[in-house]
Amino acid sequence: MSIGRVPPPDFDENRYERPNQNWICGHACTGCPCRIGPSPAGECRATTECTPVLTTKEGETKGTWKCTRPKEWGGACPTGPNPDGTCCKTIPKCQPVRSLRARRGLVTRVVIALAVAVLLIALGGNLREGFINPAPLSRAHSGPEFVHLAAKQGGGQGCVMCHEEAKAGWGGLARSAVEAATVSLSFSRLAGTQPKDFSRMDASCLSCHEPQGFHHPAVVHATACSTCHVEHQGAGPMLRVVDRECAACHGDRGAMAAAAKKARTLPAAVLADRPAPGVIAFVAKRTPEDPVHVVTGFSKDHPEFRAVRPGQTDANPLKFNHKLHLSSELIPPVGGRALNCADCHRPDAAGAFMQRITFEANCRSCHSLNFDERNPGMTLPHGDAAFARAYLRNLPMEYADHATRTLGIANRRDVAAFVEQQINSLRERNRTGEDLERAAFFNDGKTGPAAGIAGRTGEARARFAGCAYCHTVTPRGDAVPEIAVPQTPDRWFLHATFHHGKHAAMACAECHDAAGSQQTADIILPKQQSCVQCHGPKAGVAESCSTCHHYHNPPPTTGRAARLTPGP
Amino acid sequence: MRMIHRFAFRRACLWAALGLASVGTLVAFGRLNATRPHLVYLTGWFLLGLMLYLTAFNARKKLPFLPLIPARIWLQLHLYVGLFTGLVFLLHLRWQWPQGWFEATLALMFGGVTLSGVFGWWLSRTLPRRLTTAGGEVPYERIPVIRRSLQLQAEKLVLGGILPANASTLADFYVARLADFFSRPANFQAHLVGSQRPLNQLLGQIAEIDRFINASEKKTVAELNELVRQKDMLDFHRAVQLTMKGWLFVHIPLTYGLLVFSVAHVVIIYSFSGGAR
Repeated sequence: MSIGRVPPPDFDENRYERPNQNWICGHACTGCPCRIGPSPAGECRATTECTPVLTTKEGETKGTWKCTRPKEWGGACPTGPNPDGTCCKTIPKCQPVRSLRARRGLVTRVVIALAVAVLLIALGGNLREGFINPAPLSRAHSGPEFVHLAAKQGGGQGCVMCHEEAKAGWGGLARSAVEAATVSLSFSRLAGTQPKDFSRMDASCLSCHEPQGFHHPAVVHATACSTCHVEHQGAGPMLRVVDRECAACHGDRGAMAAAAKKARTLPAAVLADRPAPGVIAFVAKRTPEDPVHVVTGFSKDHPEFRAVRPGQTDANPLKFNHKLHLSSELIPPVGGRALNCADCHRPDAAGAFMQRITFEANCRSCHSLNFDERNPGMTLPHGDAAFARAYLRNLPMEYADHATRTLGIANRRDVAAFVEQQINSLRERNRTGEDLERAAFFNDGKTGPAAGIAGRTGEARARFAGCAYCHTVTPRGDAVPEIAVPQTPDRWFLHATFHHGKHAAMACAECHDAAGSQQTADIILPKQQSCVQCHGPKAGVAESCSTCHHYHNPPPTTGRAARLTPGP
Repeated sequence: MRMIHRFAFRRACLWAALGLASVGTLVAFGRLNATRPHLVYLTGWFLLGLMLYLTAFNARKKLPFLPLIPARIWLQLHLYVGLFTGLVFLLHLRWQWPQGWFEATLALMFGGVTLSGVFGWWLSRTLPRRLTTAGGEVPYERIPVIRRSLQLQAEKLVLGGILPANASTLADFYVARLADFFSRPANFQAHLVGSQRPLNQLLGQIAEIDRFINASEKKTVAELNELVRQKDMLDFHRAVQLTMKGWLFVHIPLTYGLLVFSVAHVVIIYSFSGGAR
């Protein structure tokens, strides 16, 4: 040992340490290793310090054994070789030990063997599913019901329900991996922007979720379920679909152009919107450029809602004036106040949409069908023009019925007198029954034979002006006039959803300009920018695609349309 | 000096390159994340490539005859690429720690390899400095030989002092307190933390017998003190050098274990993807 960089005093420059040798002499740790060292296989090679040589001088017959110990080992020993020619300096045997480097190599091999063993045990037996499961499944895909379903396909925790490979052997795993690496997950595809294609796993999804496999007929490349519905994200409900998955297609101009190109080859019936049965939906006019809108975010580049684009009108044949109802002084107060939206538009049980507007529920309280102001109980039937005409043509009997049931006149002679009196009174105003019928159907409150049929009575009672006051009535000669059935839409956005209840804190007028609408054709839905004021980065309310849109649509079910559903 | 300057320049360049590569990767990841549905596969393959490169350093050391990049430059690259690999690993995980047994084990192994590497880097920056400060230059493999030499010197010194002093005080003290010290490595942990306490205790004990010995023995004790100091210095070298070699017992085996698990990870992911995710 020395100070500084000077070698230690007993440093033997002739000896060269080889730290990369795997074995070192067993005596090395005591500081006196032999000079031969172990063999590469780790065996002690210690024998004697030299191999004596027999030297024979001239004249000698036996010769003398001479020590041949090298000079660096101390030179010839004083005692010399044994008489039999063997060296007298026997090197004690040792048990060679591994060098530090060799021990590290050994530890490395042990760790590799352990890793392989762990993998063999964990992947080869029943532990596989629990071992490789990257994270707990969602509530929908776990639990006893799912395990029960999985029992039919091999059991376990249910992995096999989605992953066929869950029960495969080593060869099956390798084959499946190679297949994926060469087809659906080849390097050329990994770098692409196309979402994942349908796969065997998606086929597994569709075995339970059959109707959910359809998005739109114009889709060129079908998207894997797992692209949007990410599993293994922990227990609880599945995660919401993130916008980037939608933008993978809708934000890709090429993909949208390809979809538009495909759409042009499809019959219009396939592309037509399909509202749920019984739902009256607003059908917006499509424009040729509609399918190629590129959207990456609601507040960024979402197009204007189709329903409120220029040129779109409400085709509902009912004549209705929102402005008149909300602000006209012609309408007296109801319950001491002017009408407001909630007087007619009431939320449904779920609070999401509004209940359908009906005459009975929303109009009759003000708009009486009483055609004879002297007999408030005499009202035309609503809903069928044939019934209304039959009623008018059978007025004597209707008056008699009214006298008996409503007015309590029991005597037949008194009833007949009452009927005659009422009919004469009507004749004074409407000369003939045909005139009355014509007025009832075609009077619209402004034109026609009479300005009104019945007067106004009671609080906020509007007079009955005639069917045409609210409806589009078309004469058909002697046949019953045709009254266009109102088609007030239940849903305005077929490809989106809305929840009025979640917007209860806002006034209706903040989104719907009803006070400015005088025509039924006016569409008083909010503009997209109106929504962005809240659903955007400034206000911070959610603006993800799935906030409003559903991905899955009911697929075409018959004829050619059914064959257009993207297959696996 | 020129080599040191070159090293410093290279280190500055590598830090700058690491910073640029990290920022570039983060920006690219942010952009591609929205448009590349298979990005997790790309980051995975990139990560595996980096891991193979890092592992190749071990093979490079075993093939010194090949005309490859000099090992010292390769080592420097190994360090910075290793740090960059840590970033790619986090991107591959999408900054979320995996929950499954297999993937958590894989991540733990990666963490172990990375942390042991960083620890080794720190050791290689601090311990050689301590060795230089302490002085001396002892090949690790020769330490037992030198220790034995010191032991023999001490024994010879103590035995030689018995007859002139006509007393065995020093010899008894050697047998009781110093024989064990000279015969094996001592005070590993104290040397690792740079503590001189065990040495001072020993020297204190030697000083305590000063009053029981005569003048000739005092001369022997002075020489014995010097041998004790040399043995302590030898132990210090051993502790530090063993530590500098010891961290590789974690880093290298864990690296190969990680590679085994990584290959299994690729097979499982591709197999269970069903062609999708």
